[in-house]
Amino acid sequence: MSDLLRLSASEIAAQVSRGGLRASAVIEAALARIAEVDPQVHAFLSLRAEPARRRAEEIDQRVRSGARVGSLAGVPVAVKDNLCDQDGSATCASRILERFRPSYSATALRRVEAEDAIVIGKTNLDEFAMGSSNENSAFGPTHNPWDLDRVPGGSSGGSAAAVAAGEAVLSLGSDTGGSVRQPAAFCGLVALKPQYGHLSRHGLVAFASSLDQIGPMARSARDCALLFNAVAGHDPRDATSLSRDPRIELAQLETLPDDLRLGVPRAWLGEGLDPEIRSAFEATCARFEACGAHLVDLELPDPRHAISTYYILANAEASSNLARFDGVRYGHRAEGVHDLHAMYERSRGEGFGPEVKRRILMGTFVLSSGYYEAFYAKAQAARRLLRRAFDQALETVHAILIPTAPTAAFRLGEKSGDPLAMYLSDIYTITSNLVGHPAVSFPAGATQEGLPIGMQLCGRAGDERTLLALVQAHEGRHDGVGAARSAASPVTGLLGRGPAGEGWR
Amino acid sequence: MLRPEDLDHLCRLARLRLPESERAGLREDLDRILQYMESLNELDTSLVFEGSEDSVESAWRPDLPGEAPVDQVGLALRGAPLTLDGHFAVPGVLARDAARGDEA
Repeated sequence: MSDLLRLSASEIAAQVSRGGLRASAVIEAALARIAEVDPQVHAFLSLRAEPARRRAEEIDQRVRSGARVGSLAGVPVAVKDNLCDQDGSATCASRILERFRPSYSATALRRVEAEDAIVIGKTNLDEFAMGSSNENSAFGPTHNPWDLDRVPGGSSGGSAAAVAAGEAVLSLGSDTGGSVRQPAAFCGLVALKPQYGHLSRHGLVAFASSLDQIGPMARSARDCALLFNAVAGHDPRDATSLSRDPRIELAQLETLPDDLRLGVPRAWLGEGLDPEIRSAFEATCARFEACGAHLVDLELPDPRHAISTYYILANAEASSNLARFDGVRYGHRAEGVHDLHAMYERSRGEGFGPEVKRRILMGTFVLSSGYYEAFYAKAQAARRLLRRAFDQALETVHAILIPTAPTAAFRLGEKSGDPLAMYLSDIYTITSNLVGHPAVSFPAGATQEGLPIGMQLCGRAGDERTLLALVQAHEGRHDGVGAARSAASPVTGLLGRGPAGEGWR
Repeated sequence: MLRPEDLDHLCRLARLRLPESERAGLREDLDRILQYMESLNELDTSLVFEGSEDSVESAWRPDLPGEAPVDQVGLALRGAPLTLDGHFAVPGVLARDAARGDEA
């Protein structure tokens, strides 16, 4: 792998803008890396090789002519294929949108390009972002670059794997119940689920509109902040977009709040939590204490209730949002059907995969007459209680520290036959979506087998800055996946030893 | 327990045709998941008022026409499986004859 791809996004952008590094060289290195490893990893569903080369050439030209370039100049970015791209696709890893060509581009995609980042391709995901392993893709699963027999997490598994494997330097995913944070944990990255409303969802194919957020994925807190800054901010095209400016001064990442207090919900660390994750959690707590944090035991509502609440509300919204895929205006239409209703039913039956059908039916059930009160209305009330409890807890602490997932990356096929077991792997991430507040996952060690472990900080409303500052402080005391990883034998040899295999720092 | 006719009803509401091979497994999965979700009944929500969660704040914008693409109709129709004279074409709703259309 070229050393260029070991540089951080900020280093690449700084060198490109000074003329010390050509954007074209970075893009060629990324495309060569993709050609080398993507047949095994399968992070990408489509590439934009030629447009990326043209963009790089154009950026280099502007640098040569002395013109100003953007904050992400020449940085190769991978984008989840549920974000619309006017010049490409938005398959959502579904047969129903296999040949769909969007008529406009997502705001997030336009904004990274406006900062002169180069979108090199669209990444694999669980179909319509429904899943936690990437195994629900209609186009085959993505493999975890740390161990190709394991899942990269989901649903933004392709975006995580692309950055972990060095095929891109940054990526965009979406997070409805943990879909950037859990794959970041499984692949050894930093990923932020922003405050609901801080990042425009215009052009993101909707799954559950009250929960969906687009999230940046990177190898460090600083790079994550850089990408967040490029895409965040009000967008009149998204009615849920907030008017305030959420961007973060990068210099502010150096300072932590005075009298820093972190909440630890000990009752959440029981059943189902892998002992290796637990000990990594304790070690992370100790490192934050060494940074001056005071740890406070917190009582929060039973996370099992959050799982039920989430799967009722998310699926109800999904059943409504996915009603638009009916074979009329775009997407797959069943052939040889001469009746309108049969056309809807067969087009959807043929186009959607099993997990999407399961969720549509579940959502239809909880919204149906006779069950609405018992399920949907109850879950709405439970969400309100959860939010209240979270807000009360966050009055006393700056953030809540919990693992990102109860286990490290599991094997392909290990949970795919048991949807409920798969849902339970989201137990630590869904709460922040239900509450709406920001949360970040960051690398915090590795298992004996050398698989990355991720920890999570859930923050106050609108406060991404404190979360990323905490992650940066943690980076100063720990080399991410590195120390444990270099002691373990490389599982696949894909990342090798050396700086890349040692957590990129 | 979800009966086969309940699944038929849900499929009708969701406009979804399931292959016979997927039905039994799906019914079993839905049963298990819904049973798990019933754990929410342990939670006392009697003091919570109904309705969805408020967002943090609302952002307003002037309701002005934006810049429209030149060929809006062409753009909208370019992905349509079947079009007819600049419209989306679908099979008949009342009559069971197929729509006469141009393959997009």
